[in-house]
Amino acid sequence: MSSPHEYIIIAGCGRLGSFLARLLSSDNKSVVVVDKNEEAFNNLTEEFSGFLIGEDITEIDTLIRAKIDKADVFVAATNDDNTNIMVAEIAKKIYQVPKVIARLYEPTKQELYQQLDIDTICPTILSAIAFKEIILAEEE
Amino acid sequence: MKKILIVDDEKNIRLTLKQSLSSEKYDIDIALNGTEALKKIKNDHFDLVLLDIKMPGLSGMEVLEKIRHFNQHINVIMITAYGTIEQAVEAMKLGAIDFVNKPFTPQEIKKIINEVFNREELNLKDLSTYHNMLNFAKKCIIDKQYNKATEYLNKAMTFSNNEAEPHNLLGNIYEVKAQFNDALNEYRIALEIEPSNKQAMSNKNRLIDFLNFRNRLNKGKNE
Repeated sequence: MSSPHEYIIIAGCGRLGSFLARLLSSDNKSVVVVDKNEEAFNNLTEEFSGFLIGEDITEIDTLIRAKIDKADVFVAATNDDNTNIMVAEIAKKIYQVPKVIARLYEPTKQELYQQLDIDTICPTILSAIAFKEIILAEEE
Repeated sequence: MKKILIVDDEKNIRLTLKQSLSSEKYDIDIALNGTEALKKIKNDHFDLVLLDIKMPGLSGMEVLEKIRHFNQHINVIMITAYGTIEQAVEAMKLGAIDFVNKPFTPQEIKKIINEVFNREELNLKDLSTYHNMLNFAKKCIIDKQYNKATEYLNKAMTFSNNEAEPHNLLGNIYEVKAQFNDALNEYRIALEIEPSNKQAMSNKNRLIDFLNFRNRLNKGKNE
């Protein structure tokens, strides 16, 4: 059985992008990682089996080259919230990628994404919740 | 079971291809470079070769040329670099007309392989759809029956006149026959039908560059 989320584009190959790329490709997904800084591809480990595009994700040619029109999932994981919001919106609105997820550092921007129907992962919020749970568990 | 040889120097691409085909019933073998591929094709039977154009050492085109010295009939799908579809005419002369552009989705790769295998079985009585007509024309091109291919490409166009692919192939055939203006005309039609068609764009630009170069060369000779 093939899963519907077969072709995944990840924008940004930092710690998050590269780790996610590794997890997904060990799960037999077809993964395309895009980062304008080709040295960032060194973050990928041996287990990664997918495509690398060393170009700027904010260029429309790069998106076309990555075949965004065929993507099942688009992940915006660059280190800049504004870039993430822009490319995520392009993926969602222009190319109608079925699932678009963006990482954002700034929790206050989350509402904006919700309006655009884009899923977000905010490490700040996730860590705060995890901290809170540990602290409250200790109180009990 | 159909036997496929994957030829690529990049581990990532070999793995992706293997994974993409894991749900299909194919017997898959791997070669890390052109020399190893040629050795395997000489010693074993393969139904299809997936061949990367850009490799260190022997390039994909050189491997294709060498394969044709001893095997005219093996199916070859060329894997091309990101965003480019180069050398379409040279590859056509060597009996390869199927290209997959990196990065590719598992569906794309499965579809093109299916198409290549189904094409082998096609015969004249099946030609009732655009798709079959086009594929029959492709079969003729691979067998270097260019006039017959032209006839069936034209017939395919009567089934569906808003497809760019038959015009691209017709343009390639004209180029093989050195009818460059006719070729350019076909690429222009393909682009009118589908302005973002990468193959047509790359064909047109390459041919215009070539014609400009030839003009400059002729001018130089006359002066």
